[in-house]
Amino acid sequence: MSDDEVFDAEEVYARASWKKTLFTLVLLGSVLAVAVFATTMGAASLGMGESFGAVLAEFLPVEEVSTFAQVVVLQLRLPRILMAIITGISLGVAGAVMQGVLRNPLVSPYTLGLSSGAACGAAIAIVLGVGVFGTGRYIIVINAFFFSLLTMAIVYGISRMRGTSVETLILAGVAMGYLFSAVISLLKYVSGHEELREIVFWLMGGLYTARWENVIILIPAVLFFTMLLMRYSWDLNAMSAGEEVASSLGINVNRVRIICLSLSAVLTASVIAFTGIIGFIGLVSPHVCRLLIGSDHRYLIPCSGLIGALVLLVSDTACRTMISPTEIPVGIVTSFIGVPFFLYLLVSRKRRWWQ
Amino acid sequence: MIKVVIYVNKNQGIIGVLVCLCLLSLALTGSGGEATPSSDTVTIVDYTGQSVEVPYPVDRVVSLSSSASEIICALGASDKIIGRGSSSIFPPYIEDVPIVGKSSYTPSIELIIELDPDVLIADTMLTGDNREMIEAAGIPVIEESFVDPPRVTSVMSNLGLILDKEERARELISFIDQYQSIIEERTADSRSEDKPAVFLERGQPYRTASASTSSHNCITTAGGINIASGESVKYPTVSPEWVVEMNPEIIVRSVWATTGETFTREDLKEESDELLSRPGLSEVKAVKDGRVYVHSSKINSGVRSIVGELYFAKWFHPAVFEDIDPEAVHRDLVQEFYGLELEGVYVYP
Repeated sequence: MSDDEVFDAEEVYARASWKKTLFTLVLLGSVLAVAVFATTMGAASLGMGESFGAVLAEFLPVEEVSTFAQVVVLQLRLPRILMAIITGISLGVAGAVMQGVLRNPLVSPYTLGLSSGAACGAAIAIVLGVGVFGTGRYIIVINAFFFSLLTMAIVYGISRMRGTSVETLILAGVAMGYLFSAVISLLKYVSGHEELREIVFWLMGGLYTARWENVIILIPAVLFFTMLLMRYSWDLNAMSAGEEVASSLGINVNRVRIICLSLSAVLTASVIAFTGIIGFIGLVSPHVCRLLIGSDHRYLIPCSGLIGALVLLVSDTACRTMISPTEIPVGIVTSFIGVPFFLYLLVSRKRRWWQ
Repeated sequence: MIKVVIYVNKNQGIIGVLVCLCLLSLALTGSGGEATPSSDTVTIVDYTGQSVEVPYPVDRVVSLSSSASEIICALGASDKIIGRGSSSIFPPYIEDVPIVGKSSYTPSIELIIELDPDVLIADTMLTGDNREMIEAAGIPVIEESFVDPPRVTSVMSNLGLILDKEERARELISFIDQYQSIIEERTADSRSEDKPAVFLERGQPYRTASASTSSHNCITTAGGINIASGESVKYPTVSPEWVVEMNPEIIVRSVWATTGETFTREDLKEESDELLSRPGLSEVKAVKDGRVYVHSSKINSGVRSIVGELYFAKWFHPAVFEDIDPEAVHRDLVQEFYGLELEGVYVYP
């Protein structure tokens, strides 16, 4: 063991930072590569050349491309691919921030009741709000968004009554999740069988609703909130050493907590309102990142987002193509692809990634 | 000749005995005793293959199936229904009948036993446990399927038999049969290249139906080709891009109606507009040719499924079915068998 390796802290730090930056860039590259690949995949029989041609024809005056290829690639595949990426990013980012701010490895938008809240809002819109399907598209989205944020507010409010302890907050979230699930079950029980199908469909989640007009709104929103959350990386790093430590470093723990939780809630709510419940990614992406690059939030937050995007994009592409033209709900595929990968990391890594 | 005479004599003899018995029973009734219900029963075989013995004629029926309720009412025996599943909502006057559960899947055993009907009619969602429990209480159970038109016809005649409405059942069956044979005859000689490729959507966007579903059968009977017939999932959700590639000549969207209220033209137009606004579909032949049809699921089940079939046939082969007016048939059907005026809108455009 040479002396400079032990003592030249700056160099060790620089090397570690460089590694993490490289990892982030590799992830970004992979997401882009899979996105390009996914553009050529689908139920319609389009060759690779035709698919790329359709995209290029938008920007360059290249050779003629069939309207069919343009419709399929530009109107159907691209919005869906982008939707997968931004949904993955927001779930991954929100999961990383929530786990960091609450210092608990089991926290995710799902455990805090946000997803159940959104689902409950959607179910209310489906069963009580509208009797006719299709017309209620935006009513469902708005309801889901509103209920998701409402859940966060209630959970936070309850925990405030008991002096904002982290445990109360998580338990309140879990409890609210159960309450909303009960409401959903009740609505499922009283609803007609086609409404039931729609609720079940919503509960399974999916990216089939992707449209340019939704994606165009969501991309800037997701990027904006992600950037905003990344500004709190140092605070989150300090808080991971404990509330007392963070306070002694001059951090207003409660303020950071409420800001981060609210921003993550908005981030999650805005995508799941469109996609339905997509579980697992918000919980696991941060852990995968911690296993691979440690828990420095400056890297953890973006990487967790990118891992989320990668997993969701791969899963969605698989679900579009496995038994095409029939599509499999993405939640099923996400778990089949993600869980073995996560379990592998869990047993193969020796590092204690949590704490 | 002689033989015939003997038969007549025998028959007269039998009638004589019957008349005597009637007089006797009248005498008994007159003497203050309860009318002894005749010990007559009939046995029918239900969809599950079980022989079910029911009193004849049946007077008190609980129907957990909305299709069965529709048939019973069409037979003019609505007054015999003493309990219904909450999904039985047609004809509207059936809503006065007490509810004894939601569907065949969730019957209230206690309420049913309390009502003590002569027979309970359910569809195949009835669980074996529930059937056993109801039968153990001495209530015969008829479990039926209402998906396949030939089966529905035999259910109609079975119900006509046990309710003592056989004449009415024959009328109902022949009303439906006459149109079914028109469809069959006229689509039989259309060659396969004349059959339009059809994409049928049920409720959720891009959810369709593969072979061995009633929706598929309806398309086939009406002389169309279901583009999703080969899928392995019964009710798959398919990729939009696949629909664009298959380029169906006709798109039919079924809008699910679970409540009693009927659709307005506006409701169905909204459904149609939503479909037409979906990304990518503008390139599909059906959309370009203006052959996108929206209809209420109410004309696709129970007694009224013949109306749905006529609409399908007319949409698929407008020239061949030019003289057929499905709406008029629908109006006749509800007027003749339910005594109702046709209300609401069922198709768009």
